[in-house]
Amino acid sequence: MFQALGVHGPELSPLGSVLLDMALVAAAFGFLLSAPRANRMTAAMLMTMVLATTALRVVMQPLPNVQPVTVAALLVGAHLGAKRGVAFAILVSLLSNLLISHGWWTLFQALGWSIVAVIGANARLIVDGRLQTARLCLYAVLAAPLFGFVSTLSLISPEMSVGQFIVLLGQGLPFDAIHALGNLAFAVWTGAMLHQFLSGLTAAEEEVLAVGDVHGFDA
Amino acid sequence: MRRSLMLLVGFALFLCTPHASATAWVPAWEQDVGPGYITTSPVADDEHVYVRTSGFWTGEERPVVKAFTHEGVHKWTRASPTTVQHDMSPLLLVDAGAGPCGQWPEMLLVGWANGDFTALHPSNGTLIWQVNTTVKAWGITGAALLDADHVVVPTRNGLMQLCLENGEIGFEVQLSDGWRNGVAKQGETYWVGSETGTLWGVHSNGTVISSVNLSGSLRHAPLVVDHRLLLHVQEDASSSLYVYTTTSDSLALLATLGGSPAVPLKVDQTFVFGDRQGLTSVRCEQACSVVDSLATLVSGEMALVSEDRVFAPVNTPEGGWFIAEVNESGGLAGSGVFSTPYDGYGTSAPAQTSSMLYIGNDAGVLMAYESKDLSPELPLDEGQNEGLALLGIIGLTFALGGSATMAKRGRMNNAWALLSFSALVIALLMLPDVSNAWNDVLTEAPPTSPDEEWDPSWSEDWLGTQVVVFELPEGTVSLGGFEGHTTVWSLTKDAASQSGINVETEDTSLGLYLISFNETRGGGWEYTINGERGTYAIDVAAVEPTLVLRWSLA
Repeated sequence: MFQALGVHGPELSPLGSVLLDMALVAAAFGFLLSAPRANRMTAAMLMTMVLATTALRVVMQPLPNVQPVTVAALLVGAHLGAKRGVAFAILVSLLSNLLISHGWWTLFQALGWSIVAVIGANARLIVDGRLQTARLCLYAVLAAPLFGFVSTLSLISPEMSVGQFIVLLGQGLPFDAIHALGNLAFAVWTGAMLHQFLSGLTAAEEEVLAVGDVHGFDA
Repeated sequence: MRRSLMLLVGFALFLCTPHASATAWVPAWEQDVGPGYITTSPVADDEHVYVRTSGFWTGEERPVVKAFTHEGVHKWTRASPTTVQHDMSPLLLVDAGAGPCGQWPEMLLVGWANGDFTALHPSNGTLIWQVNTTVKAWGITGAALLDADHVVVPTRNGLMQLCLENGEIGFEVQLSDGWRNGVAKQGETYWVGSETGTLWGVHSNGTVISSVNLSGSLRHAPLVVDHRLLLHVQEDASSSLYVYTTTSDSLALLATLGGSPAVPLKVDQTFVFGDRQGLTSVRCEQACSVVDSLATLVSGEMALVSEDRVFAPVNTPEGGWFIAEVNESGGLAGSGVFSTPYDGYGTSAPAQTSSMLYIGNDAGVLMAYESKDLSPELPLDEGQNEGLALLGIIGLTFALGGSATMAKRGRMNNAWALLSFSALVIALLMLPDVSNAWNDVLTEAPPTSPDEEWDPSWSEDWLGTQVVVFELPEGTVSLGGFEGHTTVWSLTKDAASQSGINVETEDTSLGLYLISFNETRGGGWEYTINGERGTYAIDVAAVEPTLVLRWSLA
C-alpha cells in the first residue's frame, strides 16, 4: 500500500503538468487524425464512449482497481482499430485523472491502456462480426497485470534499486488480481452490449462512406 | 464447461459458509511459545504482552515467561530451570508506585511451581527481587493479590505478604495445602481456600482469624460481595456454590453444579460461574440467587471481552472459547465459539487491550487478534458489523446459488455474469487483509535502530522515546519524548496536535491515508521509520517504543 494518497511518482510543476496535458491531447488527436476517415456520427459516438467510460471510472473510484477502461479499450481497439483505440485510451486516462488525481502517472496509465487497445486490435476478438467472449475474458484478465506493470513504472525513482522495484511490483499483485476480476466481470456483463454498440458504429461508418458522405471528422 | 462452473460455484459456497466463530476480531500475528502449554491468561501493558508456559519439569524443556511487543516481536524470555510441576500461577503486572513500605518500579510478578516468587523488570525480564516459599511437591500455583504497597501470595501451604519494593516479608502463615487457590481481600481480612476443604481468613497483620469447613477444594479466589463471599467448591464429580456470610459466619448452599469449576468472573453486578455442565449467573441483592444458566462445557479461567462477553475456554479436543453475552439483569446468551487455527484443549482466558486480544491454549501458540470495531474511525458497533456480515453472506449465498441454478439450466452467460460479480465482491472484501498479509511477506525486515536517524542537536530526554520529524516546506519541525503510541497515525496525530500542525486524512477501504500537513499536499506525503520507508496505511503501521518517524513530501 502506499503511504499517502497521491504518491505515484515525481510531482510535476504547473508548467510540466500543462505540457503533459498538451502532449497527451496532441497524441490523442494525432492518432485520431491518422486513423482511417470517420464520419461525424462515428466521431461523436466515440467521444460519447470516452465520456461514459470516464464517468464510470470516476464513479467507481472507491472500488480499488475496478473500472471499465481496460475492457472498453480492448473492444474499441478490436472494433475501431489500434489508432482510435489508443486515442480512446489517452483521452479516458486524461479526462478521468483530471477528475480523480492527475500527475506524472497519467502518462503511464495512458500508455498502459494504449497497449491494451493495441492488443485488442490484434487479438481477433471479433470474428465474422461475432464477439469471441471467451477470448475477450482471457485478454481482459491478462491485461490486468500488464497494465499494473506499466503503471508501476511511474514510481521508479533514481534511488530505486531493481530489488525495490520488484517488491513494489509484488505489492501490487493483490490489486492486479482485483483488476483482473473486475475486468472479467465487465467483460461478461458489458462485453456483448459494448460489442453491439461498437458494431453499430462500424456499420454506420461503412454505410455512410459507401454512399460518398465523406464529411467525416478528418475530412 | 457447465460441470466446471457448477463445481466452482459449489466450492465458493463452501468457502462462504458462516463459521461459528465469526467475530470482529481479525488475526494479527502469532508466536509459537512452546513446547509447553499456555494455561494462564497472557497479560499486557502499553509496550508488551507477557505469556507463560507450563507442563514441563522433566527432560530438557522448561517453562518460561516470554514478552512480545504488540506487533509480535519477541523481547525477552525467562525460564524456570528448577520447576517441579505445572506453572499456572497467573502473571501479575504492577504499576510503579510508593507506599509506607517503600517505592517500586513497574514490575511483572511471577509465582513459580518451584516455590520462587519473582519480581521482574517488564522491559527486559531481569530480576528485581525474589522470595522463596515452601515446596511440597509443588510451590506457588494460585493467584496473588495486590494490596496497596504489598502483594499477598498464596503459597503451597499458607499465605505470605511481601513488600513490593524489595520482597521483604510482612508476614507468613501456615494454613493447609493449596492448588490454584487465589486470594481475596474483604475489609482487613484476606480469604484463601485450600485443597483440604478449608476457607481461611487471615487478618492483614498475619493473624489467622477464621477457618470454615467446605465440602471440597476451593481453587479460586473467593468473590467478595459486601459482607459475603461466593465460593465455587470442587467436589468429586460435581461442585457446590456457596454463599458465606462473614459477619454471621454462616455458609449457605446456593446451587449444586457440575464438576471441575472454572475460575469465576464478576461482570458488573453479575457473577458468572463455569463448570463442565455450563455457565451459571448469580446476582446478589439482599440474598444471592441464581439468575440464569447456559449448558456448555468450560473450565479454567474466564475473561470479559468487549465489556459484556464472557470468553470461557472449552477444554476438549475441539476446544475454542465459548462466548456468552451477559445482559444487565444477569441473563446469559450463548453467541458461538471463538475459534482459532490451534483449537484444542485449553484452560487459559484471553487478555484484551484497547485494540488487541491475546489468546492461547495447550497448543502453546500465543495468538494476537486485532479489533476493528474498537477503532473510533469505524462508526458501526459490533452487532451491526455482524448483521452486515450475515446479510453479505446471505446475499452471496443467493448469488452463488443462482449462478449454479442458471448453469444447470444452460444459461451459461447469466451464470458466468453472476459468478464473476460474486467473485469480485468477495475479492474486494478480502483485499485489505490480503494486501496487508502479502505486504508482511514481501517487506519483512529486521527491526531497525533509530541511531542513524538521531540528530545530535535533539534533547537527550528524547533518547529511548518516540520522535517525530515533519519536513514541512516552511521548515522542519521535530518533536520527541512521546511514549505509548502503537501506530504511525496515533503518534503523528499527537505530535501534530502538540506542534499546531493541521493534518488532513482520508479513510479508505485500505486504511487511513494522510492527505496533507498544513494544507500542503504536494505529490503526497511519505513516512519513514528509522530511515526505512513505510509500506502500510498509517492506522495499520505499527511503531516501536523507540523510533524516529519522519514525514516528508514524496
